[in-house]
Amino acid sequence: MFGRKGSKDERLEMLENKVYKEMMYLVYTVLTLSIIYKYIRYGIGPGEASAVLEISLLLLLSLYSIVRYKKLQLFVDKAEEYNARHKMKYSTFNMVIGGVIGLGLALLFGINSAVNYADTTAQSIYYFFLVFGVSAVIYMVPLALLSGIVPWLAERKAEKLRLEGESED
Amino acid sequence: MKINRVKAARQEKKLSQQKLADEVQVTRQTISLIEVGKYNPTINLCIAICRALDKSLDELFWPEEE
Repeated sequence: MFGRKGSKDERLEMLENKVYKEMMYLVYTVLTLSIIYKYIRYGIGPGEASAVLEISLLLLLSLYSIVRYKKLQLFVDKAEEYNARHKMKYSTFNMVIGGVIGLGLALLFGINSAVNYADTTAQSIYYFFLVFGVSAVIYMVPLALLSGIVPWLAERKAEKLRLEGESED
Repeated sequence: MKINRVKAARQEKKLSQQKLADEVQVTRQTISLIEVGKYNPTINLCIAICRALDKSLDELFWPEEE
């Protein structure tokens, strides 16, 4: 077990993993910046159409990580670790993050409508609040719920495992 | 991190960093960093180093009392 024949240098492996992690951050950043650039350059409808590849890649990467996290029970471990160290629950924290992203999107769409489609100041204000309100309902609530559901399930599983562990003791 | 006693044990056994590194299947740089306390090895590597140097975990890695 400890002979280490044919094993790789753990420090090198750890450093390589660190580089892969940084590479992933870089890929996420480049894809996100590309989407933002296309939204700004081509507007909301055509921007989405021209950023299909970037959006698909982000979705694919997210889906892959969700599947891997699920298989390795990482969500459960993360929930347990987070709840042990913080006052706010892991699911609540994720819901807040999802809600804030939704709020950001709603603000972005509201500002975009006010700036690009209104002719007068009064119309700008009306368009902003109208689009912001509708976008908030469309994005904020579902994003908050979607972000919170997996951590909430993970918390339940962590609690179940904890109770099982306690009963075994 | 406190400097451990790997270097002293290695010198006592008249092994070079490279030779010890070859024995435990890591790079010389890893041994060097462990000796100066800049890399915390896993328990598996600690045990492999202990075996190569004929020492116990306590003798090499347990921090000395203040």
